[in-house]
Amino acid sequence: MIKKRITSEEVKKIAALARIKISAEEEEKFSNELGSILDFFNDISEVDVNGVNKFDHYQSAENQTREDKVEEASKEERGNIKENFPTRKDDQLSVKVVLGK
Amino acid sequence: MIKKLHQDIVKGKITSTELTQNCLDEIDAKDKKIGAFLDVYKEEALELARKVDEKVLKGEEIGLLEGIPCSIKDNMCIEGKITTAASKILENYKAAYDATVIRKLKKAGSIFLGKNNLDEFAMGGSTESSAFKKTKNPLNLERVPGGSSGGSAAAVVAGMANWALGSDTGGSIRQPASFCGLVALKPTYGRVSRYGLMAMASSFDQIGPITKDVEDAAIILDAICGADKNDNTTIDKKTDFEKNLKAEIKGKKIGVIKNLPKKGMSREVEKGFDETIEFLEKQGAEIVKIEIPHIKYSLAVYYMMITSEVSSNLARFDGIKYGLSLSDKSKNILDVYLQSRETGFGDEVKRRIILGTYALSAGYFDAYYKKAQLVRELIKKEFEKAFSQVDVIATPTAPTQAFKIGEKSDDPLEMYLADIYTVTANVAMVPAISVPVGRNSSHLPLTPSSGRRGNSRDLPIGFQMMGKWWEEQELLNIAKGIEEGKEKA
Repeated sequence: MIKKRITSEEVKKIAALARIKISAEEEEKFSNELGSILDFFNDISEVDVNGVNKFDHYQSAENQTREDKVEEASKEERGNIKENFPTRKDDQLSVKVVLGK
Repeated sequence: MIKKLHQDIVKGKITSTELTQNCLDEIDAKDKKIGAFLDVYKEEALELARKVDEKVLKGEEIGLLEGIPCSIKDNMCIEGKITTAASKILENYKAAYDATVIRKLKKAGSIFLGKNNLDEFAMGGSTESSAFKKTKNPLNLERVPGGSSGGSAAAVVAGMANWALGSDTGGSIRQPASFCGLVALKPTYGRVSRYGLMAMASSFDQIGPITKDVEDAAIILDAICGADKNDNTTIDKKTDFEKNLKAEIKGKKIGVIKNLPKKGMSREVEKGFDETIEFLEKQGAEIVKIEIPHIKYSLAVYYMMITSEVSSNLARFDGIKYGLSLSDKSKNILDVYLQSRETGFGDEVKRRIILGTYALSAGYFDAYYKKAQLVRELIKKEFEKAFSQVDVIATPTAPTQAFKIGEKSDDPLEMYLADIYTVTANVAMVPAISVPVGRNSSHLPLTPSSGRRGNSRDLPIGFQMMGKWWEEQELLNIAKGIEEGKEKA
């Protein structure tokens, strides 16, 4: 059963799942906007998809695999990556504590 | 245009430096008003142009695209360059590597003038949701250039670049081309590598050219397509699009959809579309009425699936390894995520992430994403059936011509409904091309100073054709026929 409306409470919960800290005003605004969009999605609930199989447009594709060995990044690439670190300690990315205090 | 420019360079009639300087001058003169560019690479472009000129003077051979300036939508990585996806969350992000298409174009000798503005993370149909600026339609500055590749289209039509690269998830290169009087081609899903394209919806995204004419689109497609080990969804289907390009209309079967939704279609667009169908028929094409029974669900399928894929793809922007990080203002690591994303993402992006997260969450996945996936397969099968009767399927590209800035930005649903004709190609994974038709369908660049204030009769209209999987040649050839027909008229 597809629900027709999404409450502010639900928006708040979903935002938390999506790791976005939205304001109370945004909760209200999104609740209204998303409601009408979800109504529009409801149309597909009436479609009968019994027996529908995957359609492969590649016609002859095979799974592509490679050797499980490390391909080193170049010095330049490494340099660019490090340059983007928001907080850094020497060559290492510094982050806030994940476990514990 | 590209072939002519190439021949002029080879013959010494013009230098790459002159071409590049011309573009840079146009950018200087016009871009403050238009806002197509987020970054301009003045020194590098001129340096590369000088190198090409040296090659020519020495009598060395140069490639078709070599020395010809172009611009790139700012959601594709160029190593060492700021790549923002028009989002605050990547305002200072320096790309660590070249996208595969960039690597290929660098090898072909293309000169990048800079990066073009877009709707934030390619989500939108007007370029109004960019975090940095709104791009104006050079044909009428009160109107949008379309989106999400609005900056790319504006750059080309205003003569600031000879061609541009955009990305298309639900129409994002075709609709701006339609609004700006240009050609755009979305390849078959799997034709062009998405490595280095900031992912929006991984099973829909494709990169494609926005050009002044059909031949240019063929040339660029040749340069950027091909299997890539960095993108497992790509496959090699060897074709020479430019070499095999020839105007073809006679004997072609053009499908017109019987139950095509027409809500919101303007009179001008309907007229432009009907006139083009009449023209094709006069030139010897057979117009065939076809049915795609589930096409009315393609918009819902599209938005349900892409929001889900978006919520997954944008999870990487968390303030940890790169991008905006509100670490200083955060108490703990969770706070870093919550705050960085709240401040870094615009409204439309947040809207889609929340929708997508909801659709994927426990209890809803089966009814939403999974169901949409199955309806998608149904639609693909119906396309396969249709292609047994016709060579291409024609629709207008967009239901209207370029709308006014601010006209649709209050109602997200209204903006989504405008994607109605373009999304189906991405849902079905088929290639699709948009060619300009109607009154102002000249592919010559119009400048803001050309004096046209623009009422709707003067705005371009896009004619879209969808082709069978891997049959971009068919699309290009019929499009060439339409283009040549207009020139003769």
